[in-house]
Amino acid sequence: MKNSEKALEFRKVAKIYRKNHFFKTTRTTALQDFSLEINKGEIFCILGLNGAGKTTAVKLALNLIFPDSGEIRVLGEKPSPGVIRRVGYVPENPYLFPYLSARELFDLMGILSGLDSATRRAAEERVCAFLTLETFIDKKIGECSKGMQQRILLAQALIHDPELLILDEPYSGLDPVGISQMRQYIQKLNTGGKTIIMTSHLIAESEKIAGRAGILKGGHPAKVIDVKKGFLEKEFLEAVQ
Amino acid sequence: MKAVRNVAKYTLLENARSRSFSLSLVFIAFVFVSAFVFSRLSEVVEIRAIRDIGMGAVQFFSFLTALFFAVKVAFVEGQNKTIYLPLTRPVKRGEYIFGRFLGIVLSAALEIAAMGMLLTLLLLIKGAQLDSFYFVSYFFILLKIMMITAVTILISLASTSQASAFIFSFLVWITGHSLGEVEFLLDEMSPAMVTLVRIFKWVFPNYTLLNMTDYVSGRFMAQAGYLPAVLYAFFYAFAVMWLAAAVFDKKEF
Repeated sequence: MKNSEKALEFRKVAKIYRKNHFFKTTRTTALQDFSLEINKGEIFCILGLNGAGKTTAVKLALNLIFPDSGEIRVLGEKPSPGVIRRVGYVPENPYLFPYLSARELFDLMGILSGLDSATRRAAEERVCAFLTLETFIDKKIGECSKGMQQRILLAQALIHDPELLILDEPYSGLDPVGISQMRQYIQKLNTGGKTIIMTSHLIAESEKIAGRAGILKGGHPAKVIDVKKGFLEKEFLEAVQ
Repeated sequence: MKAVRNVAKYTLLENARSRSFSLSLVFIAFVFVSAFVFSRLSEVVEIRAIRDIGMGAVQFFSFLTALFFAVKVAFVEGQNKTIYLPLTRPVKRGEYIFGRFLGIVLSAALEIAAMGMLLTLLLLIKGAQLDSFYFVSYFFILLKIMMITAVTILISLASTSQASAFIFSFLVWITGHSLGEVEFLLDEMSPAMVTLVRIFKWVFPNYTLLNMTDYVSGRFMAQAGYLPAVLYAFFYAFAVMWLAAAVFDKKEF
């Protein structure tokens, strides 16, 4: 497969977190010799126990943190504002701007994504219709329920119509109905042509939608597998134990 | 520039709606009314007391709210992941932080204007004669807030805890107000201490140069012309923000 057909590539990436104290610096290796390829058009789940490096890998792809060594390619390019324009990101449980309404948040995110006002308005209508946000789009985000906030969060990631969508624990804190809705949204987005990369703790949920999964252990992929119904949990436990 | 303008606009909107902003306005109003009531105890200094306590309260509370907003933008939003949303957009990090800075300064201007109107009303009820120094003083309070906001953003970006960001910024505020007093002690200091004070005068914001609320220095500034002090405040704030943008650009979240 050509490079241009890859949505995300990590080549021998290492990331060490350094924390400075008064007289010493502690180092924690988050990723080591981390290599992974994710194809365009697929739903790929990054699985692993806490501290396995899932969020670190995502943050590296988004240029929120920088690698110590190795190479990262997002849609065939080095992570930069230019390529980030084509990526949407849903972080895990962020504290959204509580005093802004969803409409104001979308407007701000649209401006920061470089959209003109007509495109922003059209995009706002598109995401509102897709995620049925009409009833609370003008409500302050701080007054919205967890389920509503998760939909707002997904909507802000879609406002610039990205090719690649990265979701960090998208089911976190949702009730069973919310989880089911989120799963349907993800599937629809993928059917519509978007590449989906998601991290998750929920093996059963991942199994329902992922085409492939990467199971991380100790900062590198222990296994990259095609997901087969009924086998993911077994594969996961084998990989992490 | 469009990104800067809109980040500033939404920062202002967000701050103006926040609970801490309304709370600070209520507190200042309470201080004004207290000054109004207590000043009746001494009729001679009645107007002077309301004016001095009132202006002091405007400065102190606008400092506290600016401090709170600056630490929130540069430290808390990194901790609670709010910052991931704007930073995963094709916007330069420097533009984003500069927009946030401008938004906080505009919020401070709004707060100072609201409180200034209330204080002016109270003083006019008391029959006070208000000169131009009184009105210019509000602008100089805003300049001070602009400088401490820039410093707090820089400190917060380098801090490892919210508490240390608050404490160091508070110390800078106090040091900035004390630099003028230290000047009088230079003759009694060792050469090393004199050098240290000179360095401090460059590094810390020298608020003595902007102390319009002080009657004597206010008149001295009026004689010398306001421009050098205004230029100093802008130069200082923008230099610190340039440094903050450089730190923010390299910061990992």
